[in-house]
Amino acid sequence: MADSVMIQGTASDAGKSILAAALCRVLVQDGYKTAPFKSQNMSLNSYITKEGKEIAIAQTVQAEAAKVEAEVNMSPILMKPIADDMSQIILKGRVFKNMRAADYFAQKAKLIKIIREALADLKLDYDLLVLEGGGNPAEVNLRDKDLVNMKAAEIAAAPVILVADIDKGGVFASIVGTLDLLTEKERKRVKGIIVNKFRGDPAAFKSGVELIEKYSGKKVLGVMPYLEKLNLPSEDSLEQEIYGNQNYKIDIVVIAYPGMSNFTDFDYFKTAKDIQLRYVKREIELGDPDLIILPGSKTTISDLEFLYESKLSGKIIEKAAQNTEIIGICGGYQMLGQKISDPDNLEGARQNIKGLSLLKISTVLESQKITRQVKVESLNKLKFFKNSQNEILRGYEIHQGKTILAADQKSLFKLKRQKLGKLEKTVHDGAVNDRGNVWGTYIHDIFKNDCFRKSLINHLLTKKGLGLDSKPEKSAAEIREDNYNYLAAEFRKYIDLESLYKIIFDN
Amino acid sequence: MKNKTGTLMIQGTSSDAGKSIFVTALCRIFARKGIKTVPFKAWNMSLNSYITENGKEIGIAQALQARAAFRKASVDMQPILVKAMGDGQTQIIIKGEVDRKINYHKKKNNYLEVYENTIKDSLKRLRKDNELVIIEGAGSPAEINRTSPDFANMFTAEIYNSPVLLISSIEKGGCLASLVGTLKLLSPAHKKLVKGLIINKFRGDYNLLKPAVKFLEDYTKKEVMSILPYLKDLNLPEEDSASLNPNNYEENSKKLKIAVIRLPHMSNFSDFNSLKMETDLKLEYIENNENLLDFDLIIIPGTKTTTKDLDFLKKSGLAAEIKKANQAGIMIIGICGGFQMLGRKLIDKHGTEGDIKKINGLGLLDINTKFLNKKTTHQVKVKINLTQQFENLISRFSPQEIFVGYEIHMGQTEYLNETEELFKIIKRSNIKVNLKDGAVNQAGNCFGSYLHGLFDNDNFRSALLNKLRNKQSMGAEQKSYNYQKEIENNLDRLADMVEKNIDINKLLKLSRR
Repeated sequence: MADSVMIQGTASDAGKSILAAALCRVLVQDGYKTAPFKSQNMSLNSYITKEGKEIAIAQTVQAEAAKVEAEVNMSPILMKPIADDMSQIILKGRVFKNMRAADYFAQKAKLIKIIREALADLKLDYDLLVLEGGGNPAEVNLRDKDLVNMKAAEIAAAPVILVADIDKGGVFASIVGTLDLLTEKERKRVKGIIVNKFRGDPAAFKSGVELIEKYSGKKVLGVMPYLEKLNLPSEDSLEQEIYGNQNYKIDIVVIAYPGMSNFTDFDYFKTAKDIQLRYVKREIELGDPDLIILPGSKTTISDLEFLYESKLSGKIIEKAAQNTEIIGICGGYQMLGQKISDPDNLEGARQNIKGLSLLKISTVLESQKITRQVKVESLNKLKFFKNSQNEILRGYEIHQGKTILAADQKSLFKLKRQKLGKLEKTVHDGAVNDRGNVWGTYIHDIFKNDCFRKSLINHLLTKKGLGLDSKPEKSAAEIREDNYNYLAAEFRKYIDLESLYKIIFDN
Repeated sequence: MKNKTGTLMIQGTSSDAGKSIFVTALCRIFARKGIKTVPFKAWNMSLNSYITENGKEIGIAQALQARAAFRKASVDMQPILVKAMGDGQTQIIIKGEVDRKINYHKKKNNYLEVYENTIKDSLKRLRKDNELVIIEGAGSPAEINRTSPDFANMFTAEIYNSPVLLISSIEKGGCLASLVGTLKLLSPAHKKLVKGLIINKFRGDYNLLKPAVKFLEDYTKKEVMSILPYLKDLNLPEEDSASLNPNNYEENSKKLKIAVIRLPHMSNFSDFNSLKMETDLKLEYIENNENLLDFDLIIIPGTKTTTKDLDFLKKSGLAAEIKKANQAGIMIIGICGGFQMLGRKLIDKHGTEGDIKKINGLGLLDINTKFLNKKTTHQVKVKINLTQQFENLISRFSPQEIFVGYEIHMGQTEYLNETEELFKIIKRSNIKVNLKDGAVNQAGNCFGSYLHGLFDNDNFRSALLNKLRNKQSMGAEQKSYNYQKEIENNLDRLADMVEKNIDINKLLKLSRR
C-alpha cells in the first residue's frame, strides 16, 4: 500500500496546487511512482483521460509533473458551476447530474464512498500519493460538508502539511488560528508547516520560523520564496486579462463569456513571443485583433445571449466580414453556427437560439456527454494547415451537443476517438467558411500541437505582411518540463526533505 | 457644546483586508453627518506620498481619507512615513520632514522614544480639535516576530484605549482562522481593546455564512459588527501595487497608448490615476527592455532612488529605447526623478540617492541636477513661462492659467546654455515666490517638471491628450472629465455602500466610550 501526504492551505491562494506539483516532481526524481489526488474540485477547466473520463486540469498538471498518465481516480469528483447555486456534478469522470449545494451535500455518504474507492485504487498502483486540499481546512461553518480537507486526509490516512502565504502579512495568525479551529484529532494530523511566497532571502525569516514552531508545536519544513517565473496553467481563475509583452506582432482575443470553460486551451499562446493574448468581456475592449477565439462554454445558450446583449456578436460578425480570423472551440464552435436547439431543456427554459451564422452548421444539445481523447487527421480544408507531413494531432472532446453540417459545408478533421489507446469510433468534426477565415472544432487542446499552433501563427504573420520568425521556439512540452524541473529545484533548495520524508514514511 | 471626542481604530488580519478603503468610507459617512472627523495613521510604509498645504510629506492614503472627511490633509494625520529605498535602506519622514537625526538618535538609543512622542503628540492634537478620529492600522497586529514596538497598530490603540475593529477579507477563505488566530496571538490587554469584527469582501449565500458568524461571536466573545460586500467598480486612487494593473480602457480601434516606465523604486505612481480614468487611452507599466515605438507618450515617473534607477534604465537597455522613441518623434515626459533623468548630468556628492556619485542622464534636456541633503516639499501653483514653446508642445494657454501640484525632491536643477524654465512657480506652500520649474527640449517633444499631480489638472490633461489625439487623427477635440468631481462621486458611492451594511450609531457610541 502506498504512503501518502496531503498539502492543505490556510487560504485558497496559499499555493497548494503549485507546491503539490513541485512535490510530485521531487518524488518522481527520487524514484517514487507518485500520483496526485484531490477528492473534490470546483473548476470549469477539465481534461479527458485516456479512458474518456473528465477530471480537473490541476491534477492533470500534477500528473504531468509526476510523469504519470492522468487518470480519473486522481480527481474523482468535479463540480462545474453553471449558475450561482448550481453545478454540474461529475462523479468518477461521468456526469451525475446538475445539483444545488444542499442536494449535493445530502449525498455525502455516496461521495465519501467514491473518494474511498478512488484512493484505494491509487494506493494499489502507486508508491506515494500527494493529496491536495481546498481553501482552508478550518471553516467551522462548513465542517459537516468537508470532503476535500481533513475528511480526505483521514480516509487516506495521510499526514498533513499546512501551507501558509506570508506575502500579505498575518501569517502567524492564519497558522495559529487554523490549528486552533481544528479538532484535536485533526490537529494531530498536521505534521508540518510550509511558509510560502516569502519575498527576499527566506533565511531572514529564521526568528519567525522559531515562533511559528513555538506557538503551533509543529515543525516548519521550510520557507519558499515568491516564484515569479512560473508558467503553468492556472486552474480556477484568470490571473490577468492580458498576457504577453509589448513587442507582440499578433493580437489574439479570447471572448471571456461568464460560462467560459477550458480557457487553459490558450495557455500555449502565452509563451509564444510574438503574441499578445487578451481575455475580453466588453464590446469596447475588442479593438482590432488578428484573431478572435470563441472558447468553450459550460452554458452555451446563456453565453450566446451574453454575446448578443453585450453587442460583441455584432462586432465579431463585422470582423469576420473584414477577413479577421475567427475560431470557435467546442461551445464557441456551436455559437458560430446558424442555430442551437435544446429540446430537452438541458440548459434552461429556452429551446432555440440563433447563432452568429458564420458557419453553415446547427447544433442540438443532448444529455449524452462525449468525453474522449482523440487522434486527429486533417482533411486539408484549412488553408494554413495543409499538413504535408500527415501529422496526427491530439486533443480531446467534451461536449453535450451534436452538430450537423449543411450539405455544402465540408468537415475539417477526422477524429479518431480513443478509449484506452484503442480506436473506438471515427467521426468528422469542424467546419470552415468559404473564405477560410472562420472555422470551428470540438477539439480541446488543439493549440498544444506545436506544428498546428506554429502554422496558425505563421499564417497570421503572413496575413499581416510580417516576416516569419525562423528561430526555433521551445515546444509546449519542453516549456512545461522546464517549469516542473525549476519548481522541483526550488523545492529541494528551501524545504527540509529529510524531515518531509520522515513525516511521510513514519506515519 | 462639543461632544466628547471619539476615537475608533480599524486593524486588519493582513495587508489587503481592506482597512484603508473602509476608513475612507467611515470618514465620508461620519463627515457628511456633520461630525467633525479626521483620519489618522501613525506609521505608514509607502512610496506614494502627498504634500500638505504646509509643505509636509505624508502617505497618500491619508490624503484621500482627509478629503473623504472634507478636510485638508495635515501632517498630524500621518506623522511617520517610511520610504523603502531597496537593499534594506529606508528614509524616515517624521512630521512631514526627512529625519536627519536618526543616526544620532540611534546612537543615543532613544529613537523609539522620538517615534513614540511624535505619534502621541499628533494624535493628541487631532483629538483636541475634532469630534472623531478614525485610525487605520497596518498589516496584521499579530506579527509576533517583530522586534520593535508595533507603532502602527496596538501602540497607537493603547494611547487612548481606542476601541479596535478587526477587519478580515473572506474572499480567499481562511477568514475565520485569521480572526481567531489574530485574537489568540494578541496579549490579553490588546485583545480587550478589540471590540468588534468585520468580515469584508463577502459574496455568496449569507445562509451559509450565518453559522460562522454565530460561531465567531460565541468563540471569540466579540461581536461581528458588519459583513461588507465585495466593493467593485470604484475609481479611487490606491496606494499599493494593485493599482499597477492596466486600466479599464475602452479598446476602440483608435486609442492612445501611454507607457509609464516602471522604475525599480518608482514613487508617486498615484500621479497616473487621473490618466487611467480616461476611457480612450491604454496606460501600461513597462519594466523590461521593449520597443517603445508603438506608444504615443512615454512617461518616466518619480523614484525614491534616482541615480540607481537611472543606472537600471541604462543597463536594461530601456534608456536607449526611450531615446530612439524620442528621435522618432514620440513625446517623452519626465516627472520629478524622471525629469532629472532627462538632463545631462546627475551629481550626488552626499550619496542622498544611493552609492552612485555621478551619472550621465539621457541628455534629452539641457539641465543638470545636484542632489542636496535638503528635501524640497511644497504644494505649488505655477503659470506657463514659455508660452510659444508651450503652444507648440501642447496647446495655447492663457498666460494667466494656473496649474497646481506638489513638489517632493532632494535635487536642485540648473538650466544650461539657453534653456529656460517651462513653468514659473508663483506660490509655494501658500507663499508668493518667483521660481523656475521644468524644461522643454528644442524639438518641442520632450519636457519635464517636478510637479506631482500635474495630470490631475483637467485643462492640462485635456490639452495634452488632445495634442496626442490630433497626431493620431483621432477626431474632434475632447474635453476631459472632471477629475475632482469623479473622485467625489466615487467617495459618496463608497460611503453609501458601506453605510447600508453597518450600524453607524453603534460605531459612534463605541468610539466615545
